[in-house]
Amino acid sequence: MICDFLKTCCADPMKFIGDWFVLLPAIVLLLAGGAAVVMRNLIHAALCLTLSFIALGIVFIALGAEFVGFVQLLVYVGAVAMLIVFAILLTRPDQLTKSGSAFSGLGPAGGAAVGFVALVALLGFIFTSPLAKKPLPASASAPVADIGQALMGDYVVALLAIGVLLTAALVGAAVIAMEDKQP
Amino acid sequence: MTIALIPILPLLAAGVTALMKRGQRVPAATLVIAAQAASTVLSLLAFLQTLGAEGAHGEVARRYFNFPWLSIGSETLSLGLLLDPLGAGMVLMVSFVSLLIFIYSVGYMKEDANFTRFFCFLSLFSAAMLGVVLSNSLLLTFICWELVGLASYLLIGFWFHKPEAAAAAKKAFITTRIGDMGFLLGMLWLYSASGTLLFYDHGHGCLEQAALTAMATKTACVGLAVSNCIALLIFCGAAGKSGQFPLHVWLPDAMEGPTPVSALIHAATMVAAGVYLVARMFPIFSATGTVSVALTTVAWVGAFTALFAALIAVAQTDIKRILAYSTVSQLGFMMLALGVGSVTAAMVHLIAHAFFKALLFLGAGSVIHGVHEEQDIRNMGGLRKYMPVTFVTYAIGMMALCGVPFFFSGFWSKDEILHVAHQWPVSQLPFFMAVAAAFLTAFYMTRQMCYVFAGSYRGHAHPHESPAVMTVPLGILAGAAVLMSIPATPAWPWFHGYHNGEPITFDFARLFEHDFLTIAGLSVVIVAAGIGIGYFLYRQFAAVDPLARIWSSGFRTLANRFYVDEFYHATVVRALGLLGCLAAWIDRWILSGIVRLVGALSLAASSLSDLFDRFWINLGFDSICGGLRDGGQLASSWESGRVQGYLRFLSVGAVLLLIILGWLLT
Amino acid sequence: MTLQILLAISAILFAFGLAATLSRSNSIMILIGIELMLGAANLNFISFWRFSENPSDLVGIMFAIFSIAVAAAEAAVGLAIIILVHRRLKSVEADDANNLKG
Repeated sequence: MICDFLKTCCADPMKFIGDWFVLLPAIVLLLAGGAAVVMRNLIHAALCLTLSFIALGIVFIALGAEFVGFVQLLVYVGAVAMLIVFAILLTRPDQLTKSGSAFSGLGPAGGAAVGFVALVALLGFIFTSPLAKKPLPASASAPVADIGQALMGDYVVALLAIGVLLTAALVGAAVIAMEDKQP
Repeated sequence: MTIALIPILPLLAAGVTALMKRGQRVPAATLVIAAQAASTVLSLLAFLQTLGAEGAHGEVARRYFNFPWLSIGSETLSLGLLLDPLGAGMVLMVSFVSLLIFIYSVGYMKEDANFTRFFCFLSLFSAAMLGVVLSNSLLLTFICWELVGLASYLLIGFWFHKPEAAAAAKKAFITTRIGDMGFLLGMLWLYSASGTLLFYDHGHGCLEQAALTAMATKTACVGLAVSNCIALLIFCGAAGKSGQFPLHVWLPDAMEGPTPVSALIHAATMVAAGVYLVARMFPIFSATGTVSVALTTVAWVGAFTALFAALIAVAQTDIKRILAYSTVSQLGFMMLALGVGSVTAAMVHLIAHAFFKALLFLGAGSVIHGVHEEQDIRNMGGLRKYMPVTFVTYAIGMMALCGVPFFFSGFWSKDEILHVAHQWPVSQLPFFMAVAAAFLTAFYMTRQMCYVFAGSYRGHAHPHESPAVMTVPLGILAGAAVLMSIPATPAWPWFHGYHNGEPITFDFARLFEHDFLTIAGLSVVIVAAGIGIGYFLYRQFAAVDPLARIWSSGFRTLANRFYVDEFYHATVVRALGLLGCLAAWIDRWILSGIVRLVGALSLAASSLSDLFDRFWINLGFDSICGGLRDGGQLASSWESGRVQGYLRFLSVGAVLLLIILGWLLT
Repeated sequence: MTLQILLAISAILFAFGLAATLSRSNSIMILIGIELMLGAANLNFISFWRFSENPSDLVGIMFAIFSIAVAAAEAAVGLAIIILVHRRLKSVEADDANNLKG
């Protein structure tokens, strides 16, 4: 497979460079994701997560789904990552000397093993499935106007449902996190 | 079947009186006496009927009525009532004497608190005795025999708070019971030998010819014929009831009861039941001939008892005890008569004896009542001045008993006995023993008369004559004692003919047959000698008995009744006591030991079971529960509350599902 | 650039997210793991859209957009819950929230 990849790279240099637009952020994505998983310091982990979100957005843009990429950057990086950082700051432990283990009492080995097993299974499916061997189509474009049309047209129910969901989530989160006003 | 009423009326009176309260004296006495009077009237009618009845020549006129009582499978026990000359005379005597004694008791027991109970028991006794006389079945006889024994026990122990009376009642019951054991065995043997206990039953009864020949020809142990064995066993019962040696010991002690009881039961009627039984069963006794082993035994026992009891009576000092031994002696005479083969002589003497012995006892009761419950003759004396009626009637009775000639029934009846004893082919010794006993009878009666009525009064009470309710029966009995002499003479063998169904004629010539006059003369001489010597020795009261002065050791032996009671106590009573100790030992150590052993085994088994339960079953349960608990704890450990744990399982499950889905799809 | 590469990248990212969720003690780290998994799913969607026969259907795009919206809502609510739990238990360790222990 890697031999084919190298052959393709050498055969079509333009495509080769185009591919690296996807691959490079993908590698950053994986590295940042891995770092976020193993970091002890919570803030560092959150920042690595932010980096991985950014990389993912760039991957989306590189693949041609610009709108989704920007949405990813806006929502994930702008909102979710911030939320996570705020939550980390709000839930600092009282005694800073408390040094609990970063990994749960159940042990990291178990979790890693399950992850590994899932990875192996998924990879097995990916590389044996005939569906995944398709070649890259010429180009794919997703103009925003078309996305807007689709949203308001075919997917309007889902859009409205999402609206309700977000409203409920907003109200719910506000209620949950509210201070108790008992005297 | 109106003769059934004769015993039933007093029985009903006894039942009703048993329910009456202590204070209801007049109704109780009236009811009992009325019932008895009715029985007497019925007996008289029955007697008159048998007088008129005539059987075939040589056969006795008999009427009987049998009814089945108990059926067991194919065997049926029947009871029955019989009326024949033997029974009719006896029943008339019994009911008449009982009636007179009941009337006498009204006066005698007037101060007693338990008046009602006394009459209830008297009536019960009367019913049972009449049942014995009228029965046609040995089983019914036995039932009524035991009832008579019961009534005797109740009446002897009437004053039960006196320990001597209670002991005497027990002694009477136990001694007669020993005899009754023989009676029962004889009854059972008779039933098995002849198949029936009815006396007369249209040819099938046990006293009828077919059964008798069967029993006479079969022999049992020791070479004796079956009929003799049965007869000897039945004689045991008769000997117990009639106080023959060696079962005589209860009769003198039975004087602890009130005097009417002594008169009725122990003089006239109950003790006569033994003689009556032998007379009734005479066909069995004589089945192998008039000189059978059974009859010989009866004769010897009777003769010995007559002499033995008369000897003891000579040395007694209690007025009633002298009469008691006299009764034993006279019963010996009756048994002797039966033994030598003459039922008639025995029955004549029985009926005559009943009258004059009842008279003597009632007279003694009158004397005791008059000197305020004093019974020792040494403390009496000169009572002929204070109690004339009693004296005269007592004298008549005494003369009848001694056998003063011609006008007194005792002379004729005793003479008849001496006569038939003299004619016995086996031995003359019983005859001489009877003669000696007759001499002694006259002697001790004279002794008693002198002690009680002659001389001057030595006691401390104020003697007085008894009331009319007591003296009138005395008079009636005295008259009977005299009148009975008439039917007893052999010149007019009325009894003989009546019993045997022969025609009765009055013939003086019979007086001269069979050495009758010789024996009559001998007995007159004997009686005169007895009375004479007695009067000579005792006309003056002496502090020490004259006989004691003559032969002190012999007199002491007689006074102590030949030490028979002491002998029984040392042997039989002691043996029973040892047997009782042995039985108690077995019960306490062996039987109770077994029970305790069983108990200990149960306890051991239960503790074993407890150990098993505790260490085996419980452990099983405990381990099961432990297993369940551990399983539960294991399951609960899965619920750690930790989300990541749950998630891991979820993930693994999802991955597995994924793999399976992929597998299925490819 | 084949679909397989992109899918493999997405699988690796997903495995990272799963491992983080299952093994980190802090609840916020768990949430980070969930976000990683959601990101991997979004990459899957976009990859399939890119390699589909008819990209103008925009199915994958739509999926991704809605997925991002849901993820945002879920992150908000989840963090609010974590803050509430922190207020009650004074701790954000996942092991400390074990009141449902049996």
